[in-house]
Amino acid sequence: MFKIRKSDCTHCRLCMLACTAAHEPGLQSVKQARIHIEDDWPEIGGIEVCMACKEQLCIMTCPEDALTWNGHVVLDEDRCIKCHECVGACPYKGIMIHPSSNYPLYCDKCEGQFSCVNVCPTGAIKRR
Amino acid sequence: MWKGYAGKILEVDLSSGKIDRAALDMDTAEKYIGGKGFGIHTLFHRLPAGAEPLSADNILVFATGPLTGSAAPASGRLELCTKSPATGLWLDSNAGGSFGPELKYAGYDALIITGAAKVPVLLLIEDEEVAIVEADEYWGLDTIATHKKLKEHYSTDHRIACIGQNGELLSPLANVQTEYRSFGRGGAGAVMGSKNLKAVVVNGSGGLKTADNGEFSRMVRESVNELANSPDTGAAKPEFGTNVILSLMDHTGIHPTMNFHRSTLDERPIDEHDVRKFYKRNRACFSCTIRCSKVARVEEGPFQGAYTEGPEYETVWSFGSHCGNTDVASIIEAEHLCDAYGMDAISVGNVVGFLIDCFEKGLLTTDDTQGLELRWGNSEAIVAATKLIGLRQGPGDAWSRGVAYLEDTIAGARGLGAQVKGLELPAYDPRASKGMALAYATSDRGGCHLRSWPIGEEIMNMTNPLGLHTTEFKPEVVKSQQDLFCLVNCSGLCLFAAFTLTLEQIAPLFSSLTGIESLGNAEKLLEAGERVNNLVRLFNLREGLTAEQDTLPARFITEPLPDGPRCGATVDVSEMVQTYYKLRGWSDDGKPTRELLDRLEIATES
Repeated sequence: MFKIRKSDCTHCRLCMLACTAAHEPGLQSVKQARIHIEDDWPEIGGIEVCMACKEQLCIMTCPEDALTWNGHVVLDEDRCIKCHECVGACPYKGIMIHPSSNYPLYCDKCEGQFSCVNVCPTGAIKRR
Repeated sequence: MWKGYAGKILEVDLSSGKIDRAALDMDTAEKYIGGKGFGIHTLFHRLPAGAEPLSADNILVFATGPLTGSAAPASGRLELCTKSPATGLWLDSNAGGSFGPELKYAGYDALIITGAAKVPVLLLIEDEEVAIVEADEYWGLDTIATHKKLKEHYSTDHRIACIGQNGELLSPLANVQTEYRSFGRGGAGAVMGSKNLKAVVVNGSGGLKTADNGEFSRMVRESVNELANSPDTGAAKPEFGTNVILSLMDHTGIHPTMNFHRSTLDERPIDEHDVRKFYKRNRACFSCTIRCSKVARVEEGPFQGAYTEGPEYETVWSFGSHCGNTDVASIIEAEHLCDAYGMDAISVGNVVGFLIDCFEKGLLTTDDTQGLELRWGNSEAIVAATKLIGLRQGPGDAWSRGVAYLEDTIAGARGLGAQVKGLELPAYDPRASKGMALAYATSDRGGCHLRSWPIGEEIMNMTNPLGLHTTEFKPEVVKSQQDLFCLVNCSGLCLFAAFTLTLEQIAPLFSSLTGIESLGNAEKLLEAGERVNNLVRLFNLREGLTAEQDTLPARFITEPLPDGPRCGATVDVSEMVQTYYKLRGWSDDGKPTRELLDRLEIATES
């Protein structure tokens, strides 16, 4: 889904702003992003986002079968009990938590728009 | 319902522990915009005249602008305003990083800190939850260790502004470090230290609403494209950082060397390519496409292992040519020490160069310097002196009081200092650039290059450069730049973006984000900058500033530059200052007239 080059990331967090705006139009924030830049000054700790891995530990771990795969991870909010087992299971730390609703947040590729990729000024995150 | 703005001001009194939240009012937002404007609006009305900067009476204001925290490019800036212990006058310092946006996501446009705690504390802000927390375990740590420990305790997404040992020790050179960026100049770190406030830690969960999302997004895209297509913000700064102007300043004779005695060195001076060899990666402030910040590391030699986010152009000058030093590795180590101890790299480097000058003239001996051979270019001694200043050890205690103090206390040193109003000068010789001379003389916080930077109009304006040597049109340039830069420091935007974008491109960002129509009017925005500058002037006059202080050290009138492209140049700013006063609508003794204050609607304020 993504090709990531941590060494090119500048920690500007334009990807997080764009991701939040793509899912909450008109909201200027990084707090509802499905991608997270982990800072480890002076280096970058990681570009954390769903890597669409084969193992799919999030889906396997969910005790309520609330997660399915349809080109990206899909959450059934009616089934989700917000236990965050999936968040802990992801080896890429690629699942965030909504600050108010507490639901896990999954990358959905912005329905093919890839908002984060479009705004990254250095190409640290690209489509694979 | 506020758009763009968070709509609330947080106020914490460290003496009583009282925590208040006040609503932002529309009149203040429209007239003072944010940032520096909110800072002076608070200090002018609330700081008692003549308040001692390092007493509980002083007030600290962390203020964001309307664009802070939004997707507007290079808009993550934050202002820190207080009364300066270095100058006894107004101080605002501007820093990037991440703290400003986080403060807004926590729900506050500004944070006002009054009083003083009895024991070391930190202030923790998590949305509505605000607490004053004992900070014994952090007191005594440098700023890098403080950041690390706080992030381990809270989270890496908690954003921090803190002081190091130099602020704890109340040095007027002390700065406030935020996410490894600096509120550098004027000693705000000592004000935090005097309040026993080690750090402010903030984490927010919210965001800002946009008034007209379509228009705002369109203007953001236009700004991003403009910045990317500019040779400055799209190529030079991403490649070289702020050091990109090193060669230019050298070739034009503006770059001062050896405590402003010369403009050349016997050795080849450091240029941007020399510094770039040490860069390992780019970093950017929040929401910034320019990425002018670099991480530099030293991999061999006596300073092996040294690293810094930088070094910035000003530091490369202050610890470099200003000290007759061409060893980039030692400059990286010196900047790291400044950041770690929490002190201003311009002022500290300026002090060290001044000390070397005194030593070389025989005014200081090794008895006065704890054995340090303070010679031009002695990089080991330069770094050692920086350590003494950082921890105020031995002679470092007096050295950390700044150049103006040292001129008075080192016998024979009077007149050797390069400072204005008690703030050490940065990396431009005022004799070489007549515009810069006026900029220094009239800057509201003393010797500073960021209230206006007329060099841009003098040599970098491709269509109509004004030239360095003439005084013609310099008052006009300085006045209009001061008002524009002031507006930028109210907005949350970075000056580097404002060098490329026009005000006509910036204004729609304000109005489409906030929905406040008047903020979309470029003329009104510039007028807000002028209003804020005039209120700062009234503040400074109240604190005892006189027109006689709007000048430069006498040495720049009497000592011609002895070498370089501007050989023979001197500068007398008195005529330019009078013209500047007239343009500003100030009296001959530098006071804003009643008529001007009425026009700017400051009448009811004073």
